[in-house]
Amino acid sequence: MAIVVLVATGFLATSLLLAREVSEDVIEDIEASADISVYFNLATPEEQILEIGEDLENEFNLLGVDYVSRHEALESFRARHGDNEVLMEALDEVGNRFAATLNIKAGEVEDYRAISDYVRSNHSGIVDEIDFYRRKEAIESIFDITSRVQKSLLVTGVILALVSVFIVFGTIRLSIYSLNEEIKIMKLVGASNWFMRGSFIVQGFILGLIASVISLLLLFALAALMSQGYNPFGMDLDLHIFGNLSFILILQFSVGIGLSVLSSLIAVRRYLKV
Amino acid sequence: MQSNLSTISKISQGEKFKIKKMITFEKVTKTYPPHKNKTETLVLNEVSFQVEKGEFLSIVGASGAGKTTLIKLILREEDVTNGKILFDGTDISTIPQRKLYKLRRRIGVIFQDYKLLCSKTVYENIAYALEVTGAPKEEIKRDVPEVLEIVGLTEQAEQFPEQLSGGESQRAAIARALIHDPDVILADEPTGDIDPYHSKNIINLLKKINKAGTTVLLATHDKDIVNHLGKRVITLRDKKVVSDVKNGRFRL
Repeated sequence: MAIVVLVATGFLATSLLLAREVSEDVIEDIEASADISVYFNLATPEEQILEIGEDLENEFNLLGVDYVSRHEALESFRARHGDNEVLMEALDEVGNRFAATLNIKAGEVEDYRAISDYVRSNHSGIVDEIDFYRRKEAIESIFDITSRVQKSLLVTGVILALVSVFIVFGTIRLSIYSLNEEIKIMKLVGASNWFMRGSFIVQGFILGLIASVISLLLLFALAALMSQGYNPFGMDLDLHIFGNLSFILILQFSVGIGLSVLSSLIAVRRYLKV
Repeated sequence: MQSNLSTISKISQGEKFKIKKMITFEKVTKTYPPHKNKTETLVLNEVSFQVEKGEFLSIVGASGAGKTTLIKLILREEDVTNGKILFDGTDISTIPQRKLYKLRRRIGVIFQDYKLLCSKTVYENIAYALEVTGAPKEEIKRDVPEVLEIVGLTEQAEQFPEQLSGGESQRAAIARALIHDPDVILADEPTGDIDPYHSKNIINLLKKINKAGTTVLLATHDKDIVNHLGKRVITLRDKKVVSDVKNGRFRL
């Protein structure tokens, strides 16, 4: 029982770490690809659009502004769908309906809203559409999910840690009670205090050690499963595990052993009369 | 010149005499704190006596006269309420908790109920007393058979306590008490559960140990044993020492 709870606690501590890693990864990916696309009315002259681009560069700290002309948009569409004859015929029929676009990369995710607002208020007449909200939502929902997951993991982790301290505490207390006779005799024959305490603390240590090892094995099994293609979340969990291996090892052992030694120390202090 | 020398030797003998005290009780009072609405219980009332090194002292008294408490006080399993106890010149109340084991290693204790570990053989029970002090294996292998021989249990070494008679169990307990080569043996009713014939054996064993130089303090209410011993007897009655007689006899 004590071991099961300790395993759960250790596992959770590692999950907390991995959840943070993975969400950072995902957000980084989205941030790197995220930009704002401003679509202009078909009639907007090229010079005006370029001016807006320069204006934005001056106004904000941008990573880059790409101008895609109507012609370029058409060409890239043709390049992508050139083998689709029906589509090409239809395209010839309607002419170039592609809008000229400014693709803006901002330095900070938080800037996107400001940029979007700026463009909307200053150039509302010529802007057809700003493609930003969907990305914003994606990023914000990932932030949201991550922080919720982290919070709930943290709360569960703290609860589990407390539970495991209590259970190890109970285990050691029981063994102190059941070894009552032996303890009395140890005392009589002159065992030092730390010799008597030591055997119970070692018991706690072993509990923690076993729990840490089981928890690590579980983790590795999970990583192995994922590297073999079973990967429901599309995350490189195994990479994260092995990338942080030493940290995870330290985390696992310090959580498992630390908690159980701590609670056996408390039990020994309270119940072992030396 | 002659007289001068003798004075010096008298003084030095006096000094030696001081250190020769093994255990000293100075007005020791012990009360147990009140328990569930009851008033506190007085167990020992201003008990004073001294035990010399190498002495064999019997403490007699009816059950509940405070004999067991007295032994617990010497081991500092209990603390005195008033007064003090000196062990080999040291006030034991000044020994810090973490160093108490040093005091206990100098004292061998035996009880009426032997207190052997039933999961261990006789040999292991005795070896255990050395193991808990971190003694090296060679020392254990050398010393355990030696004490088994002293108490005459060499052949029972591999038996478990439940296979032993009362007398044998007590001899195993004595062997364990002897393993640290203690300065003092405290025996609390060691013959309480043993028939008179084997009781005599136990007492003879204690006498033998005493002859080898170990101070023995025997708490008992067995009249025959005390009368047979012919050694110093302290009688406890009504929480007090009522008599302290050399070559004493048992009386209540």
